[in-house]
Formats: sequence, structure tokens, C-alpha cells
Amino acid sequence: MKTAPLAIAVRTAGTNCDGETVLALEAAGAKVQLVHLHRLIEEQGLLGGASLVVFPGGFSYGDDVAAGRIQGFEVRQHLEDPMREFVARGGFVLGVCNGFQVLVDTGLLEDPAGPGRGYALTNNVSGHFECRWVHLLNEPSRATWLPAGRVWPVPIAHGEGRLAVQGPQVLERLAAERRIVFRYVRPDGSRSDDLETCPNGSVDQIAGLCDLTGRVVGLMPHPERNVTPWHHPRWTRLASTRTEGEGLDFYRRMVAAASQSATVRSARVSTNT
Amino acid sequence: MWISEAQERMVLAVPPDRLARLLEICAAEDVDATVIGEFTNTGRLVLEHRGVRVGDLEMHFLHEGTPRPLRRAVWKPVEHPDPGAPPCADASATLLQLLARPNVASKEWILRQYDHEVQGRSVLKALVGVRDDGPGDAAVLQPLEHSRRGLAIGCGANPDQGQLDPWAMASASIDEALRNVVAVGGDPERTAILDNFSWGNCAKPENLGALVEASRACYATAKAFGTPFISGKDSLNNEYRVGEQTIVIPPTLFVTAVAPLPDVGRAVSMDFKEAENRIYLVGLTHGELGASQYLLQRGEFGGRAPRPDLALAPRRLAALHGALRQGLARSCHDLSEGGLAVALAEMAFAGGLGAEVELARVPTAPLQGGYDGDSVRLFSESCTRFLVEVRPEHAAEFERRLADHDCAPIGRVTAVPRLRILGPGARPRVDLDLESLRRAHQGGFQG
Repeated sequence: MKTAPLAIAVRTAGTNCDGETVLALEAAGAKVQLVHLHRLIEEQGLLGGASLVVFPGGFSYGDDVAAGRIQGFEVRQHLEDPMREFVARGGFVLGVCNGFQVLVDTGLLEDPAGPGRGYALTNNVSGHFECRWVHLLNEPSRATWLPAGRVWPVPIAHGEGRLAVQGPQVLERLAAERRIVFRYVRPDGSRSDDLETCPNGSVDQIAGLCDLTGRVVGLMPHPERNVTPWHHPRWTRLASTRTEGEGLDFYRRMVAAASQSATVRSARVSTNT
Repeated sequence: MWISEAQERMVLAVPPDRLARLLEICAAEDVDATVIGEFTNTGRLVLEHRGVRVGDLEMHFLHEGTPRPLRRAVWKPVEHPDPGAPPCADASATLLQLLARPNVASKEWILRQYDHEVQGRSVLKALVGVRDDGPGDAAVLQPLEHSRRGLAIGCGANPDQGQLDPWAMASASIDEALRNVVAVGGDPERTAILDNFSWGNCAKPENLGALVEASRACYATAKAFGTPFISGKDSLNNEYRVGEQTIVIPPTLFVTAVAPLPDVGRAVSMDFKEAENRIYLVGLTHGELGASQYLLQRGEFGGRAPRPDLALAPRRLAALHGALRQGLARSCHDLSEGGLAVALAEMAFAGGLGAEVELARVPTAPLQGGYDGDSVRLFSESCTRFLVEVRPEHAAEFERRLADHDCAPIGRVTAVPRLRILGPGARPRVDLDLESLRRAHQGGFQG
């Protein structure tokens, strides 16, 4: 695809990772429109021209009730049908950190005909916010546009990032459906449930999930905060030949996959009331 | 409505032709915005509520009407016996104790509860090194994505010294903030500073006297370094009473320095990088242990509090900055609470590398009687001092740049993961493995 695909980054009161998200998407080759959630609700036709919709991190609505809950509710109330239609015709959706919390709450990661969610993102086991760098193992999943087996260094910055499940059958279903995209691992890719490796205490060290299409992906860590050569916490110790942060390739792959996938419709306004 | 201090409200003065646009933006962001009045040329502040005039004041009264109290300030130097620099029987054990003291120990547990990556702008984070647990000197940000220029932000404070000598405390706190930004590559010639005073009840003449002393030090020190105070904040009257006891905050000046870096790619962190690199000590060590961590740990206090040499310090910062800008330093760390021993320990465990250092090589000013040379070199908190790790091939150029300053190679970085500080006769005064140092530093201050 020759022309840059359009990515819509959705912001609302309390979104604070829109800046780095826009930069990462642009560096990855997308044309980006930063849109207030309420404009998107008013002008749902905007989705028609987009290949990718991103919910960046932050503290939407002050994390009131629970992180991502109110924004998730707004999306579910006003945008669920157009978003499902957007995904059905090949669109990609990404939620990072607070955006992942929003995605989980909207139900967009789930098949409406499926057995229900059965999982939630809740308080870290430490009981507090935590900002640190972790390593993510890219699991073989339905998000085939990602390189299974790769270990990504990325930072986390969240207080409610622990994935909790209703029971073991939920984990089994997520695994059987190949929807576990990322796990927190040691730097060498090996599994461990210690809190240095998996600071929020997520079940099975799960850090990111996708839907059944592999085009809707959510994760707690921030690949957009590892884009320049100087984002990495140990860049002063790494080779000076490093020209970019490892997280840029995440966005590059997503933008490339979205540009090949989405059958972009001409913008058709279908105003919702 | 008029005097409520409810937060998260702002008043804007808006030209009439921009008002519609402003209200449109506010509406789009779901922000309440209301026109509450207009500026007039009547020289009066008039408040109306539902058509009733509820307030009417002259502007002159509002601006000039505040009665100015006259306060008395008294200052006499704190009289404490000078304990000198007592010899240290077991410097390894002492170093571990100092690393665990609250004003030295790791603040990691609280730092990680704040998002220090917002907007993906951090170049050097608060914690650096192989395990992201080394106490960095200053944060470096890259404010504009299209420019490699950076901004270093560092701080200085020492509440212990404030109780001994407020002048020295204020001057040393400015020096510390400047050291911290220079250590990461900030340009001292273009540094601005901010003051934040935390003080006891200033209606008491002795508290106000201490504040006057600190303010005089701010003036003299900022003038000497050529660093303007661009803003600040004060929090006075920090006292409260529990029964018969009044608890007073120690006189404390918290200084923040902001310095530009020409190129974020040249930012320097404090963790040792490679074995066999040389370790230089820049700056002169004096017998300045007043209110030092070493004396406090021993239950002592008095003596001379560190003061920067206002004639030499600015030139030393400029020379060191030149060397860092040229890419001659692999790591750099300032010496502050706990002195040389603590700074070396931090660089070592942060880098996962050992060090071997000879105390005899430390540039030291002549000492009075009662000052043990090794104790001074290990634990004195003299100002404007740095440890710099330099590759052997850059040593000659580094020495040339620092030729007019106190600067000496005191040792080398080692692959053996131990900190060894050798005293007279190559006798190890400190000999500790990195894990012990790390544990001591991590364990001292937990939430």
C-alpha cells in the first residue's frame, strides 16, 4: 500500500500518553489524527477512513470507579456497533495501559456470541502504582503480525494492571483460542512469577491479549515509550550503533498489517444519536 | 463564592474577540467555563450577586492596604564542640551503615510509584544502571522530539547541615543541585535554579535569623555561579505542637537546577561502565564533617559544615562540563551525603562492576589536629567534587582539560565485583562485595 494508513488516536479527559503514541504511530509510517472521544462519538464516519484505532494510556476520568471504566462505558454505549463493524472489515484496534483497561471494559476483545469475559484488569498485588521496565515475551497468538518468540524491553506504568480470571477455565479458553499475546518474562525470555519479572502479579504473567481476529490487541506495557535510541533505561551501556528503541517495531508491524488489511471505505457519515 | 479555595479552577483574562473560541474549546473538552466579569477603569473592585452589590473595594486598598509587619531576626552561630574526624575502626561496617541512612538510602520504593516516563520524554531516569537501581544524579529529558537538545533537572538539599550552619547549608545545596546537572552533562553556564524554603515559625527571631543567613548565602552563591533564581516557593511556619513538645522542621533549602544539554546522546549516567577504566576524583577534599552522615552515625554533629569555594567552584564545573561534552566520561557521579565511600559504592553496584581505589591519591587540603586523614578522605562531604570514569585512551585528554583544577586518578574499575578502598600501606580500609552494598542501600528506607 503506497499511501500512509490513517490511525485515529482517541483521547479524552485524563489521557496523557497521546503525545508519545502519536509520535510512535507517525514514526511507524501512519498518518495520525488525534481525536477527542466525544468528537468520534459525534462523527462516527471518521472510522470509515481509518485503518487503525488506538486508545492511549493515561488516567481517563481520573480513574474514577476503576481505571478505564468510564471511558470503557462511553465506548460501549456509543461506539460498540461501529467499532465492531470497523474490526469486521479488517480494521485494527490497539489499547495500551489505560487503553487496554478501556478495551477490556468495552468487551471489544470478546466475541459477542462467546461465553462472556471472565477476566478483568485489577489492582496490582503490591496495591500501588508501579513504573519500571519489564521484558515481554511475544507468544504465538492470533496476532500473527507480531513476531512470536521475540522478547521486548518496555516500561510499565500502572496501578491496575493485574489480569485476574474467574477460574482456570478462563485461562484455558484464552490459551486454547491463542489470545495470549504477551507475557512478562525474565530478560532471557524464561518464565518467572517473581515481582521483578511480573510486577503486577498478573495470572500466568499475562501482559497482553487479543481478540479472535488478532486485530484487536491490548497490553499494559508501553511500546511507544521505547521508540528513540535513548528511551531504554540502559542505553548508556548499549551499543552506540542502536538507532531506535525496540518498541518502534511493534508499531511498524501494526501499521503495516493494518495498511494491508483494512478495506478503507470512503468516509461516510453515519451520525449516531 | 468569592473566597472559596476549591482547587482545579483557573481565572483567565481573555480579549473579547477571542472569547467565543475559548468557550468553544472548553465545551469540546467538557470543561465548565463562565464569564464572571470584566476589567474596568474605575479603580474599584465591584462584586454583584443577582443584581445586588455585595462588594465594593478600592484597588489601592487591595494592592497597598496590607499592613507590613516588622519582624526581628537574630542570628548567632550554633555552638557545638568540633568532634573533628575521629578515626574509623571498621570502615566497611561504617560504609554499610551510611548507605542505609534515610538521607542516603535508595528512594526506589517511592520513585516507582510515580510515572517518570510520561510522554516518553525521559533520556536519563531517576534510577540507572544494570539493575535500574543506581541513584542517578539528575533526570535528563528530551523536550522536543525533533531536536537532540536535552534538559537536565537536578536537586540539592541537606536538612542536617541547616541545623548547624544555615549559610553553609544553603550554599552547599545550590552547589549540590549544580553538581547533579553537570554530572549528567548539563551546561553550567546556562543553568537556572529554583529555591524552595522549608522553615520553622519565622515570628521567632532565631528562625528568621537563620532564614536571613540562608538568603544571604543564596545571593552570594547564585552570583558566584552566575545561575539566576528563576522561581521558587516557600513553606514557612512548619511547626506543630504535641502536648508540651513543639516539633520544628530543620531549616532546609531545597534547590532545583535546570540545565540544557547540547545533545542527549552525550548524557552521562553514574553507573560504572567497563572494567579497567580509570577513576578520577575532581575537586579538593577538606576536613568538612560538620553534620556529615559519618558524624551523625556516630551520634555527633558539630564541626565545619561544607561550603563551596565560590572562587574555584564555577571554573571547576565549566572545565568538567567541557570534558563531558567532548565525550570523555563513561560515568560521572557527584560526592554528597556520605562522601567518597558512598559515591564509589553507588557507582559500583549500579554498574555491576567493582573498583579499587587508593586513599593516598585523594587530593586533600591540609588538615588540623584531630582530623584523621582516612576518615576525611572516606567520609568528608566537601562541595564541588565528582568521580569520573574515563577510558585509558581518553585519560591524557581528560587530564589536560582538568589541568588547572584539583583532579587525580585514584583507582580503576574492576571486573571483580568488590569495592576495595586501600589506605596507607595498601591496607584495605573498605572491602565489600557489590551485593552487600546494594542490600544496604536498598534496605534503609522503605514504605
